[in-house]
Amino acid sequence: MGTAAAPVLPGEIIELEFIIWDSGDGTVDGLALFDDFRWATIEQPVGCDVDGDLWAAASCGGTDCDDSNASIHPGARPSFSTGSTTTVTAWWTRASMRR
Amino acid sequence: MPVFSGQSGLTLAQALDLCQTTLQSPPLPSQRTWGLISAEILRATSAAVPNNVQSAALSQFGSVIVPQANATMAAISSGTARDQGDPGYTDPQTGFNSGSSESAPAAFLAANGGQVYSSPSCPLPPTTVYDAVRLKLRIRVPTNANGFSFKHRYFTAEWPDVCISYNDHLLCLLTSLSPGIRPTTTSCSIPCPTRSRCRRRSSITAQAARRARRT
Repeated sequence: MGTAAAPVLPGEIIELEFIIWDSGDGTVDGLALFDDFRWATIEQPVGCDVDGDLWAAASCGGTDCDDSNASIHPGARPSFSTGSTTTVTAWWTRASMRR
Repeated sequence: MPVFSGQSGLTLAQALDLCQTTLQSPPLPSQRTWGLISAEILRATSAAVPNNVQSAALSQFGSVIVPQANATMAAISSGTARDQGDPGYTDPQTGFNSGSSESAPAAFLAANGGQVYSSPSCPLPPTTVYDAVRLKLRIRVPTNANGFSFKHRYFTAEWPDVCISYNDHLLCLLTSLSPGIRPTTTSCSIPCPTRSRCRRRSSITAQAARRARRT
């Protein structure tokens, strides 16, 4: 079997579609097989994901602005009790971009 | 175990080895995990359901082609997604005609100047497609993943009648925000045996004529 690959963004929602069709004769058919779907994972260097939420710390070039709290990361819902207005707005923006 | 009847999109996703499921909008943040959100078997552009024989989870195809991981492979066909001897099998040369007719996927046409992509040396295929099947997967990517891969194989009964407008097509479309993907709905790259026919990096329309005859 051949292998196909494509890039994605961590945590985003993607749509993957496989389509096969006949171009006009209505007969003389084709068949496709797909197997062995795998993710290409990002290995986080030591110290770049201290809270273990799988998001790399901003200090390592990642997008986790608080690597000491696993509940804070891109896509996490904002905490109105602890977050400042600025922070909450930023989280909402990031979350909506990933949907 | 192979699944020939009553299979769902989830069955085919599992055959593809994409087994973890999740919710699009979970009630709790802690439930926001990666995985398959939905899986559907559809026609090329409409929500109509293809004939049941056009998809399956196969445990083998012939005596040589076997699953690359776990027990089954996902199969879709413009005819019958069956091995010889399986229930519902129709010889691909004689062919199976479901009677369906519709437009090729709009996003794909838009990305290719309103045409179905083809080798420049071959006649343009029609934009009306027949006997189409689409496996549509909606997936949340793991937060520590930046890509994916899968294995594939394409068979056609049209060989050696190559480079004609009747050649079947296989398409893989990926919708992603990744900067490595074109802004519109784009194809993921499936290498073609003839490189000159893969001029667009992101286009993987695989004409039936490119592949070895089913044996």
